Formats: sequence, structure tokens, C-alpha cells
Amino acid sequence: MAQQWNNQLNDIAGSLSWFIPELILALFLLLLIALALFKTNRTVLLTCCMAGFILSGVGVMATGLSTQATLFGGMTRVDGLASYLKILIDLAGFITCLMSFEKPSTHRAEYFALLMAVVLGGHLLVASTHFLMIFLSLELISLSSYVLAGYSFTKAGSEGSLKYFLFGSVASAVMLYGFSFLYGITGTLDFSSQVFFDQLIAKDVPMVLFAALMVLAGFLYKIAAAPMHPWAPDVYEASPIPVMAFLSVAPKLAGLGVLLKFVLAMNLFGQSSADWQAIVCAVLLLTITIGNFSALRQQNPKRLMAYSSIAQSGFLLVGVAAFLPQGVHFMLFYASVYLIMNFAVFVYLDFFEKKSITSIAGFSGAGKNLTWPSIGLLVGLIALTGLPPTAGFTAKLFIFSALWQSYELSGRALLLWVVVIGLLNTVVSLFYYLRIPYFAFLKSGEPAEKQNNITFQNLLGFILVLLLLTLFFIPGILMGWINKINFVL
Amino acid sequence: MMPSLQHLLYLAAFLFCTGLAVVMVKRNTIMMLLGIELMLNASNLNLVAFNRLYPASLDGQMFALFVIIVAVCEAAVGLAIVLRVYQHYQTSVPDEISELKG
Amino acid sequence: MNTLTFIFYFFMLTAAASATGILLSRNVFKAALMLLVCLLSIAALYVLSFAEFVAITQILVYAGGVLVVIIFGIMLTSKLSGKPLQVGHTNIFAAVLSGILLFALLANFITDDVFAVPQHAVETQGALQTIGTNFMTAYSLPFEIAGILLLAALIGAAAITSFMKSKKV
Repeated sequence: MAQQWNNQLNDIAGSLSWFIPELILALFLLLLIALALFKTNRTVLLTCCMAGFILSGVGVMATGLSTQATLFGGMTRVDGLASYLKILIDLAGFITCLMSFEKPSTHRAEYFALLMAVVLGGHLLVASTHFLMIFLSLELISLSSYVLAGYSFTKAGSEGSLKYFLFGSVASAVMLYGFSFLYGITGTLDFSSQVFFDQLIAKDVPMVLFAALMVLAGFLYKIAAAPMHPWAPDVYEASPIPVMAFLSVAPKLAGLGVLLKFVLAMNLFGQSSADWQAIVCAVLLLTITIGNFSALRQQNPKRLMAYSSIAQSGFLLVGVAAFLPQGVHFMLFYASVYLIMNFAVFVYLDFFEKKSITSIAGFSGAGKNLTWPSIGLLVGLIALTGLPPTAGFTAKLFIFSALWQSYELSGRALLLWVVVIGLLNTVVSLFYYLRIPYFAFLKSGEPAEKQNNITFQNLLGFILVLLLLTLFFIPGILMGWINKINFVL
Repeated sequence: MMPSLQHLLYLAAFLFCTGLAVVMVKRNTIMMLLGIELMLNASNLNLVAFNRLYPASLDGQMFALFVIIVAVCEAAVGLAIVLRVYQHYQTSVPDEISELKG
Repeated sequence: MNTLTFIFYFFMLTAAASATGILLSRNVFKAALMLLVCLLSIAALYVLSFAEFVAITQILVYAGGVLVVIIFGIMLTSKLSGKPLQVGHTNIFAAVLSGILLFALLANFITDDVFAVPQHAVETQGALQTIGTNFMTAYSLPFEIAGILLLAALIGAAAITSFMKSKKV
């Protein structure tokens, strides 16, 4: 007995060195709260928060993308996929800090601490290989996001966070119920273990599929995919723009990472009696279609972006549906580009909101008065549509080419349909994404007074737009890095 | 002789469905919260019951303990949110809260 | 039928009945009390399923903590409005129908042999000790994460409520 404990404690001590990024995040979380005791000014808190994200990102990079290790006796696992998503989540936190730079709000320290908590939850979620870890880190993300979503402290804000909370609690309770059955059937909570695999092969009962679908519902809620999406527009509309940008990227990427792992585990290397490829395809088609067609009739740019983020979840799932290592690589590329283009659009929307332009019609004439921000917004929206010359086009091309490859290998007509419907949806999305630029450049409005456009925000947006253009012309700089990830379950 | 494990599972399924129905039927946020607690308890009952199938490790019971912790957090944050909504709207009936539409 | 079996089915029935009571009741406070009954019966079922520690935690934390918080919530909201605690119902038919269908489906799945009774007697000597060591060894990471989760929940709840106080609505 003592020998066994000794081994376990040694394992924990050995795991800690892999766990430095998460330790850094936890440390900075405590530091931020401690700093709040001393009436610290905002700049210090902001710097501290950004330093935390940078350090943790650097820590992840230092461990490298090609290493693999199982930590804490099978609780989490470090691998290339998880590390890459961790870096993206850190980056999302960092850009959110930059966006919050000019936002006056009363409770700054709590705000940053909660951002930190969401990022920490994201880190843990993408690395989880244990149902308990998934549940805990998902709750860490959710509970912090419920509060963040209401951070405008308005009437609508409190309503948004209430809706988010009710929907989220039910989704996580359903997911938990699914976990309990998977535990009952396999006798293990570690879904990457051999026991889990063997037991599922041996006991092929209908309950497995039903429980797995319940778990999937929890993940789909986190990435705002159909049929678990109805919370997204209300929550996004009510939250402040930096929070909205953050919530549409960080929890989504974290949920996507764990969804990929879970689906691959349940697929049992193709030996599952359930057709997981068809399930993922059905979900993604539903998500893209609902997102796009609901976005068509939106008048508020924030709601439009909410539906756009639902549709983008569907496009990200295309990488999962391919069930190829290539698909995962291209999904990571899409995720990186999604992060950049989403933040670019939100930075500019934030800029326009400050100029009190809050409806799509309000953009009339903005192209003349605020030329450069309008052009930046245009590039961001073109990227979201998936047109050249932006990285959005490259990402869509890559991710559908992976699906095409999968079609050629398996010859399933279903995949061909997904490609066709996905491309048709891209055409549909053109109509709503380009409505804002249409109003901005082609409609004339009353001329506002000329203002200094060289603000911090515009600089940030400009950098993001520049990245989008660069990645179109040389996607190799990012792909070369992603290709180093050798993904195995 | 101990009663059947399956009977516990039936009870858990019943609690889960009742909880879900409570969330759907009630027009009061705190009532919905009670429904969510029922659903969480259903999962806990499942976990503890299944642990009898695998007595070698106590994974199910450990999970159940963590679920209780999470339920505490959820209740605390949830009630804080409900109270704030209350301050703004003077009601905890979700249908009367309708600033956001679409 | 021996005493143990009788007790088992008694608590099962109590739990099911009080859950149904929550669904039928229109009074929030009564529903909260019925949840208490339900939680305590479940705790008794835990004891009968060899999970004494979970049962004690259930009584202390769930029945003693969560429920008190909920009752506080009920009192605060009812005090503010001055309205009685009556609650309306919506789409009863759809909810009950989907509930029954879901239960039928789950019950159908549970009948499967995979979930059959373990024939051998369950030996859980020193379960408390195992739980204790588990927290410090195999489950040390979740244990720490739970700590951070509690902290985040605390910060979140404080951030929400402290704002209310400063606003003086």
C-alpha cells in the first residue's frame, strides 16, 4: 500500500513540470485578487493579466508541440493538439485584455480574474482525458462565463447571464447523466484508456449511443452548435463587446478540442456500431444552415455576429467530420484564422459602437467618414465569408479539401453532400456579411465630423487585418508549425 | 440480500425526467433551479449505484463528491444572478424578462 | 421481505414521491422543502449502497448548504416583490409528455443485462480511508481544480452582488 502511494506521489511530482502553464495561470489568478486589495490602478491589473497569458503561452511553447505525456495518473494528457489549442486560448485572453484597455468598468480585478479562470478552464479542458476533469473544467469555464456575460451590468446584461446560466446548467446536468452511464457501462472514467475501449467493444448496448449523445449535447452547448445554440444570440447581444469576442473564441476552441477527442474515442477506430461520421455531419450541416439563415434577417451587428459564430462552429466541425489526421491539422489552421478574423471584426465593431453606431443601417456613410476602420471591418468580414485575398479563404479551402480527401478515400455520398451544402452556405453567408460594408460604402449618410482615426484600437485591428492578409499569401508559416503535431488518440 | 441495482437506476431516471419536466414547466427561476438540482442528484445516484458494479475502485463515489461541490458553486452563482435580475425586473418569472428578442 | 429491503423501498418511494411533489407544487417554498425530503431520502439510499461518506456529504453540503442558499433566495425575492410565492405553469402537456417518453426510453435501456445486479457481496472495508487517500493521490488534480472552481464562483458571486449594493436600486 505504502509503495503504491509512493509511486502515485512520484507521478504527481513528475507531472508538475509539464503543468507549468496552468500553474502560472492559477498563480496569476491569485495575484490579481491579491492586487485588488490594494486599490491598484487598472493599468497594473491589465499588465499583470497580460503577463500571465504571455507567460503561460510561452510555457506551453517551451514544452513543444510534438511531446506527449500522460499526467496525474491519467487525468490529463499533454499532446500537440492540446498544446496548440492552449496557445490559441492564451492568445484569445491576451487580445481580450488589449480590447478591454479603454473600457471603463467598476470591477476590474474581478473581471480579469474571471478571464484568467476561463483561460485556465480552457487549458484543462483541452488536455482532459478523464470525465471528472472534463466536468470540472467545463464548469470552471461556464461559471466564470455566466458572470462575464453580465458584465455590462445593465438590465439586458443580467437577463443575458440568467439565460446563459439556465441553459448551461441544464446542458451540464444532461452531460453529467451521460457520463454516469458511460461509467456504468465501462467501469472507468478515463476515456482514453484501453479498458474503456475494450468494454465498449464488448458491451455494445443502445445505451452507449444514447449516453454519448447526452455528453455530446454538453459539448455542443459549449461551442454553440445546433441544436444547443439558442442561448448564443441573446447572451452575445447583452454582453460587452470584448467579453463577447472572448466568449465566441476561447470556450468554443476548448469545447472543440474535447469534442474531437471524445468523438474519436467513441468512434473506437471505426469499430463502433454507431455511425459517428454521420452524426457529426448532421450536426454541422444543421449548425451551418441555422446560423446562416438566421443571420440573414438580423438588424443588429452584435446579433449578426452571434449567428455568424454559430455558423463558424459548423465550419470548424468539418475538420472533425473528416476523421483524418489531415482534417485535424486543417481544423487547427481554421481555428487560428477564426480567432484572428473574429477578433478583427469585433475590434472594429467596438470602435463603431463607441461612435454610437449600433445598428446595421447606422453604418450608412461610414465608409466616407471613417474610411480606414471601415476597410478593416470589410477585410474581416470578407475573411469570415471565406473569400480571397484573406486567410479565411485559405482556411475554408483547406478544411473542405480535407473532407474531399475523406470522400475520395471512403466514397461516402454523405461527405459529398456536406461539401456541396457547405459551399452553398458560404454563398448565403455572403449576403449578410457584406451588408455592413454595403451600408458603409454604398449608402450615404449624414457626414460626421472628421476624427483622429489613429487610436490604439485601430492599431490592434490593423495588425489583425494584416495577419489575415499575410496568412493568405504565405499560409506555410502557420501550416508548417501545425504539421509538426502528430496527432494520435 | 440487497435490492436490485436496476431499481436505483430506475429511480435515477425518474428523478432526471422529473427534473427536466420541472425546468420546462415552471415559470419561476428558483423553481427551475430546483429542477436542475434534481437532475444533478439523478446523476449522483447513478454514479453511486454503478460503483457497486466496480467495487475495486471508488471512482463513482469520488465523482459524486465532486458533483456535490460543483452543485454548490452553481447554486451560489445562480442565485446571485437571479437576485440581480430581480433588482432590475422585480420578478423572477423568465417570461416577463424579455429585453432580448430575435 | 426483510427490514433492509423494506427500508430501501421506503426511501425510494419517498424520493420519487417528493420529486413528483416538486413538479406538482405551485408554491416555491413548499417545493424547496420537498427537495429537502428528496435529498435526505437519497442520502439514505447512499448509505444502503455502501457510500456512507457521500451520504454524509449529501446531508451536510447539499441539504444543509445548497438548500439553505435556495431558501434564502426565495425569501429575498419574495420579500422584494411582496407577492405570494405562487408559481405559474407553462406547456405542461409537452413537458410531461416528453418526460414520460424520455423515462420510457431510459427505462427500456436500463432493463439491459449490462446493468444487472452484482452477485458477489460488495466489500467496502475502509472506504473512508480509500476516499481520503484518493483525494491526495489519484484525485489530487481534480481536488485542486475544485478549489479554484470554488474561488471563481466566490469571485463571480461577489462581483455580481457588490455591484448591486453600490448601485442602490
